[in-house]
Amino acid sequence: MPQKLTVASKAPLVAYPALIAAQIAGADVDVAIVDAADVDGVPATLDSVKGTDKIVEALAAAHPANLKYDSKWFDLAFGLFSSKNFKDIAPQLEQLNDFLNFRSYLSGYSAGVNDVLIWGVLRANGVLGAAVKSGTYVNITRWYNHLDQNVKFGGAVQDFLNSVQDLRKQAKVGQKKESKA
Amino acid sequence: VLKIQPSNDDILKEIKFESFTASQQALIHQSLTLSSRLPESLPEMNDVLRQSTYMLNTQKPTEIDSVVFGRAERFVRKFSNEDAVTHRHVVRWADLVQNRLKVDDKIAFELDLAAPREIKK
Repeated sequence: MPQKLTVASKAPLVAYPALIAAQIAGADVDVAIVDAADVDGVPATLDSVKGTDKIVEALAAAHPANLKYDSKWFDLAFGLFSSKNFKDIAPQLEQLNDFLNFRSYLSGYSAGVNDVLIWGVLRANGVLGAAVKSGTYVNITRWYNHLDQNVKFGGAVQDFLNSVQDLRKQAKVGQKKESKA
Repeated sequence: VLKIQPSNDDILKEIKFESFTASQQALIHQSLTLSSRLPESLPEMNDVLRQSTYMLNTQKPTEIDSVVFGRAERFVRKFSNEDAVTHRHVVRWADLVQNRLKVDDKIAFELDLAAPREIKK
């Protein structure tokens, strides 16, 4: 039986890492969208597991071959990089940029779970997204854009956003019908 | 898996250009032109690779990465640390390509080399 991943589309930090991790893990997961700021007080739930970080942990535990993360990147993603205060994050962004001077991915030579964690949080965090798009951190920008063009990363987020739009359109149609009646 | 050979240019005969998009074809042209003028074109190649993970901005290496690597290898192999910092994006790309494609004699790169932060132009 598939697990149910419920994602709040208006969360301050949308659970993109959970969404992408489920794909990378090859987990049997049905995605449900709630057009609200939270679901049970967190950005996402996976059956009884609550919170983006806990979901990624649970997926990693269940799919260790595909999702073997490094705690360093896990802590960075769900610690500092979740902050909306740019001043808190700037030194870490510089370190990440330095790390990518001679590297194309966070570990190894293809996109892996550490990329999922950091990219997913950057994608969800508007403050960071703006810094990345401005091109101040040239290596981060190259890495970020590369993954944005990856079907499992940027593609998964785009699919999610399309579904959110559809959901909102349907809700509008529903409202109109109700007001006519 | 593509194999890096001393004369990688042979691969060019087999490339089906029509299988690439128009913008990729422009990048192919750029890549081949730049790599025919090495080592003078290293700064320009570095500029291209600053923004592009692979030569054609793909998710995986293409024949063009293989051809350009074949042309660039002998210069990159001789890089001093200072050269590596100056052409850091060429080094990053070369290390990626040699690890994604089959290369017999890999170039040893120092991935944690200290390099001053680049300021956006």
